[in-house]
Amino acid sequence: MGPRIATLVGMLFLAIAAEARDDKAIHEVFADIERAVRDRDRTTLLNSVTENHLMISKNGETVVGRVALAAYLEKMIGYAPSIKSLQSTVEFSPDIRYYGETAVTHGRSRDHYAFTDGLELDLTTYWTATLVRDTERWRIAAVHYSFNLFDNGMLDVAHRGAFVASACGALAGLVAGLFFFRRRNI
Amino acid sequence: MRNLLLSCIACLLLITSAAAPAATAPPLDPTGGRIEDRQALRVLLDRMEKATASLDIDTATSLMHPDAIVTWQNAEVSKGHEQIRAYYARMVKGSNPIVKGYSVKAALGGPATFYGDTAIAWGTTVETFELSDGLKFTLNANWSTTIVKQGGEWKIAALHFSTNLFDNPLLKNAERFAWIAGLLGLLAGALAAWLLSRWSRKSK
Repeated sequence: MGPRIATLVGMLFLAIAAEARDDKAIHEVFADIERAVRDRDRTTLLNSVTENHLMISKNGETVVGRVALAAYLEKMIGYAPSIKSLQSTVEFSPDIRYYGETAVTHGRSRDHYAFTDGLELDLTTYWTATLVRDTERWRIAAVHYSFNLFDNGMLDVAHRGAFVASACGALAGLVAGLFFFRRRNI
Repeated sequence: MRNLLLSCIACLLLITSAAAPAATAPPLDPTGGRIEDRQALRVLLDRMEKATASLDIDTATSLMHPDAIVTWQNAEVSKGHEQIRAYYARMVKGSNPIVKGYSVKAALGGPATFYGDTAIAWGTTVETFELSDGLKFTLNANWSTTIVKQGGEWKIAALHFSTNLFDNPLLKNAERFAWIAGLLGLLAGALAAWLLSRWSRKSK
């Protein structure tokens, strides 16, 4: 093997090793986030993102900047939270696309929400995240969450509601009808 | 003084020309820096909007990085030009397309954020769909994109579309359907009661 080929093979090996290291570091960022969401650890969540971080949430809110994210987290999981409990299992796509110091990845999570107003929701969430590496570590610069518009937990709740509404309507109609028609002898 | 005046005019021209392509974009802030890159991004996003609205997949993919990841409204993920084209073909082409009619109007949400040669932009769209099964709806949606500069050219590396889980036209349809189901149930119950009353009177 000539010295040039040996150098090329060596560089390739180093590049693969560096990418594997980055993959691991990025997975650790998400593992920290998963844990922080479960434990309502807002400090870890805020440390995992860049100063000008962008988040588009499932309820259509666009949150720009760490300060705005802190306010959003306070609303959702703070002292008077909208969400009573959230269990989330994150699944990654195996491939992370690197563009210099930027990484783009995507995946989905299986979530179970219990809201303070009583609504319970099972949802598969789809996300795309862009991470950038600063002097210390990888941080999330943007994350966009979404769901299947045509098949999701809220539609399931609405369809179950239609079934319950028709059953309750039929029962109410039967009881009221028997009362009315028997008295009137129609 | 003359130089200052010329600089001001040049700056003004730059701002107005940059704002021209995307009619729904707010004016460029000259203090935000990277004016040339911002201008290039606006041109790119404007071309992308036009390509999407006219279902011009060749132009759309030419604006995307070969490894681009797109997450669509139905949560499907397309990776790379080939998968993006396949999705497009399935949705709007062929003898049995899922989407019969489509239009889109996009707006920028705010100034893009830069991280070296990466930019992140976001905004909203108003999309009108006509599906082959007859369902028509207008969707107020969000989009975000990650754009990377390679070889001096900006290309879309990721694009994600979404809407509000708790407030969207399909959910409203389902809620309307629940009301109609309740009303029909009530009528069916009343009809059953009437038939039962008649039957019990006849049998006496």
